[in-house]
Amino acid sequence: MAKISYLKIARRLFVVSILNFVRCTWELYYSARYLIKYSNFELIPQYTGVLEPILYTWFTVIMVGLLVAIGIKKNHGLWTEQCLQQAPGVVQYQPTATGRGAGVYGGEQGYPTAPVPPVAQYQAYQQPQQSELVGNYAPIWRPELAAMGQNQQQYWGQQQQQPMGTINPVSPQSPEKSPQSYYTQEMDGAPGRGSILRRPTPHEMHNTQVYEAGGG
Amino acid sequence: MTLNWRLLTRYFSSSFVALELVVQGLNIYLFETGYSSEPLLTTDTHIANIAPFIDQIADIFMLLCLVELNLSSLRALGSFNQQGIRYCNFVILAVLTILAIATLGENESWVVKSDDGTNEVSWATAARIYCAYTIVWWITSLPIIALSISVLSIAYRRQRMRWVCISPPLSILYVYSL
Repeated sequence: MAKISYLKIARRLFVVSILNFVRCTWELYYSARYLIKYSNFELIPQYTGVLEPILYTWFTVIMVGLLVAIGIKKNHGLWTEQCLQQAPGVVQYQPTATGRGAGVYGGEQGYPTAPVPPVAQYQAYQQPQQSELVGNYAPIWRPELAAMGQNQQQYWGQQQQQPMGTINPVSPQSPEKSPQSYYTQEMDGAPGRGSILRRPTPHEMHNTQVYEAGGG
Repeated sequence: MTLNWRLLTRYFSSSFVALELVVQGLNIYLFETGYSSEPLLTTDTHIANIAPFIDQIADIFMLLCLVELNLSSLRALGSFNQQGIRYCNFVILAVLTILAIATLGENESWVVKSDDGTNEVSWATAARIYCAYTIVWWITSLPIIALSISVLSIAYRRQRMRWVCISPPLSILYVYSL
């Protein structure tokens, strides 16, 4: 499963944006300086012939190269609906009647779900404050909810995708018993590329046990 | 969204480069022959007008590609849906397309009038339309930078969250750093 580093992609996008801005600024300067009050008799200085290939042509080439690199980094090109539909383990859902059309972004078509790991093999790390820190990506796995089965996965997948106000398949319960089907989620792979649950290492499990025992 | 914007941008950029090469080749041939062939001269001028138009279309697709990439990254990183920005982007790109077509039309009109021997032909109108295009194009590049900065900050913050998830002591350090 190929890993996607969002930070690397974000950095490349930022560089492409900066290059695009510099290119646009050069074109704007050239237009404002020589083209707004255009005259057939005005000579354009030679330094523009030197700067034009550098600030426009070469920057365009670098931008296209970086975009291609971003496309290669994201498996099979840029994310589209088609890409996610072909991936295994994707929860498909139909757009609700809230006015949001299907396929706005590739992620609209579903979110990858992972099979529920056996409780004996996975000991959850639980930190309630994480939900505030992480925001709407606040997955917290609770082992006692593992018995809820696949409903949680579908609940989580649809909870992530459905806009507010839509019908949830799992009826809401009291806070103590509510099926908070959160689980620690790490985007170690492209959406739809299989399991996104990362089994903790023995060192991490030890830290979890120490933390839950009140030590550390 | 099933179109591959990256490929379209690449096709248009390649077309621009190919047309520019054809123009340069024709210019060299005309220079060698002393500009004696009138049809070739006209063809060279027309191709020299079409090449920047293709380049403008490639720039428009590149802008579209950038905005779509940024918005999809924000979506994947868990940010709220931003359809409004997307539709505004479409409107601005439509305006840019219209200005690019208008520039091409004015250029072609100038070439035709020049060929007719009209001495009072000025390229000023085409130049001003191109200026309007560059102004709108520059204004569009500013929100793209803001989007990419927000993507970068969210990705960086998420990376730090991952480190926090792994080890509890780091979470204490993160809380203190806030």
